[in-house]
Parts: sequence; C-alpha cells; structure tokens
Amino acid sequence: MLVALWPERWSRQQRSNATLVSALVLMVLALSVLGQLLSFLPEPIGSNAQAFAAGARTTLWLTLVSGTLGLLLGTCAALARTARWRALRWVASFYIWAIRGTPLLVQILFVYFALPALVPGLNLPDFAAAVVALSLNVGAYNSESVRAGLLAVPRGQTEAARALGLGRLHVFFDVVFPQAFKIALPPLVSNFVALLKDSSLAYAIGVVELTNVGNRIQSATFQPIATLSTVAVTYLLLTTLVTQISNAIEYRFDVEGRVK
Amino acid sequence: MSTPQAFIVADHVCKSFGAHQVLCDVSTHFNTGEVTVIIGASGSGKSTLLRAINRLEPHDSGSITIEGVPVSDDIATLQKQRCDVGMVFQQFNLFGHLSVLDNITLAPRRVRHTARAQANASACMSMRTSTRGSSRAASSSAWPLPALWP
Repeated sequence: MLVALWPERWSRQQRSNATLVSALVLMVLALSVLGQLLSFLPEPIGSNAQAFAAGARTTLWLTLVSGTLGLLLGTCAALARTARWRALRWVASFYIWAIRGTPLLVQILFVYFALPALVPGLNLPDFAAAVVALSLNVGAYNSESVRAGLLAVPRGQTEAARALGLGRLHVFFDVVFPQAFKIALPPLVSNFVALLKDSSLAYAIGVVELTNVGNRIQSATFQPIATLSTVAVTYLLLTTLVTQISNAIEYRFDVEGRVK
Repeated sequence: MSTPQAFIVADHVCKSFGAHQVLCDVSTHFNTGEVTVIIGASGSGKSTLLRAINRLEPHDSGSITIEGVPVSDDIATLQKQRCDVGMVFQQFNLFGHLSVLDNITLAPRRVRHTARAQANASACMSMRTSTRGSSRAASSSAWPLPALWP
C-alpha cells in the first residue's frame, strides 16, 4: 500500500496527499507510456501496442465518466429512498429493483438499441450509450452503499446537531453526510472497481475499449494467450492504481485512526 | 439581587412510550441565574423531560414554554429556542469526524454565523478556563447558553 511508504513523522493529511498525487501521476504515466512499454513485447502485442494503449484510455475514460455520474445518481437515489415523501421512496425503490434485477449486458443493449426506438430522435453514439447504461447500473448499487452509510450514523448524532440549533441542511451537510460518506467509502470503491471491469461489456455495442481491442487482435492473430493476458494485466494495473487513490481518500477521512 | 424569573416552565407535561407513562403531569420551572438539579431513579424520566424541553421527544399533553414561548413543532421558533437552551447527552454524542475545536465551534459558526477565527479564539479561551476549574461532569443537563457564546 502506497500510504505506508511515507515517513512516520508525516501527518495523516500529508501522507494522504502524497499518495493521491503519486497514484495520479503513476496513472497518467502508465497510460502515456503503456504504448511504448508494450511495443517492446514480442508479436502480436508489440505491433498492436498503440491499439492496446488507446483501448486502456477509453476504458479508464468510460469508467471515470460513468463512475462520477453514478456517484451523483447513487447519492440522489439514496436520499430519495430515505426521504419522508412516500412517492419519492417508491421511485427510488423501483429504480434500484429494476436495475439490480436485470443483467448489465441487457441494460447496455437496451440503451443502445431499444431506447432510440422508444424515444424517436434519441440516437446515442456507442460511447454515450455505454456511459448512460453504466451510470444507471452503478448508481443503483452506489445508492444502497450510501443508504447503508446514512443509516449507520447513530440517531444521537442527528439529535445532538438539532439540539445545538443547527438547521436541517447544516445537520445533513456538517454532521450526517460526512460520517455516512466515510462509512460508505469502502463499498463505493468496490463498486467503482467493479465498474472498471464491467465497462468491458461495452464491447457488445462496439465501443473500442480494452476488451474489444484484445478480442479483435486475438481473433485476427489466433494468439489468445498473449493478447488476453495483456488485457488482464492492463486491467490489473488500472484497478491497482484506482485502489491506491481510494485508499488515500479513506485514510484522510479516518480521523479516529482505525485504518493502519 | 433581582428576583429570579422563570425561564423554562413545564405545565402538566405528560409523555408515554406505548403503555409506559414516563412523565406524569410534571409541572416545574427553571429560573434564570440558578442551577437546578433534577434527581431521580434511573428510568424515572429525567432525560425524557430534558429531551421534551429540546423537542427531541414531543410531549403528549401539557405545555412547555421558554421565556413564555411554547415549545412546539414550528421549525423557526424551535431553532431559536434551541440556540438558547442546549443539552448534554448521556452518551455525549460528540461528532467523531470533527476535531475537538470543530466540535465546539460548529454551532457558533453555523447558528450564530461567527467567523471561524473568532469562534476558534473564543473556544480556546473557554477550553482554557474549563480545564483550570474542576471537571463538572453531569450525566445530562440543560443550561442557558448566552454566557458562552458571544
């Protein structure tokens, strides 16, 4: 873990910052030199190195965009599910029920093929369709993680904040949400990592991401072991770096010092 | 010395949880400038009375007034009353995600809109005075706050 690399005397915040910056730098560096690195490898990887690098960039981009949208969507859905207004709770419950009960592949195909038929004029390009489907999907899972966080904040915290005379918004933003977010962070990260891998399903509608690149090359060269191993190792590299970033965030929020 | 004035008045307050009646026709008052102690066996409703004064537990019947204004569900009035009457919980309920200083300054900053620097300075001052005096721990207590908050 990168967080443990820094000197003991550094403060929690300094270590967290150092980890965040170095993980981000490593991420950018890895993506920019991936093409060159892979070009040193023997056939069929070397000659297709740039295609692999471009695929990895698309995968990461797809994950970042849908991950951000999914986080917003998930937070809204979690708030709706815990809202006082019954209609809002029903809408959120229906959304979560429908998304979690159907396969992601079906959702991606649905957004790409069925949505234009249902809503005339809405012809999403493949990347946008994948973003919509992935955000909706990860949003449903995120909302349950955020809801778990919200419910795990003891009732006494809300009461204490209200007893101090804090307004409803301040009770939420100053007291409940920061604690709920901290509790929800580990499951949110695991959802994000799952999203990074699930983005590979976008290949079904023709998005040229990492898995699609690998699959095309392996069917053209008849060398599945080398190509698919490269794909797997690239995913592993990306998920490792993403986990480092989230560890650094988790470490920073951990005021009580429980994370070693 | 001026005559004590009733600041918080409870009048025939009743509260029950299901079939269990906790507050049974409680009438009492708390004067300004006085320290009042409520003593009773555990489960006798001391905390429930304090929670009712803070409207964390709405009472079933009777009335509670603070400076003549009834404690009700009206949000604006309630907020104003909560600025003047605070309470310490049995389990303290400190905000674990905030530092000690932020725990102290959260309410002045958010409720009284005190600037952070000023709130920090006055919090440090009261921390210094309270460590010098003996520790005055109470399981739960209600107190008028204005002296502490500028």
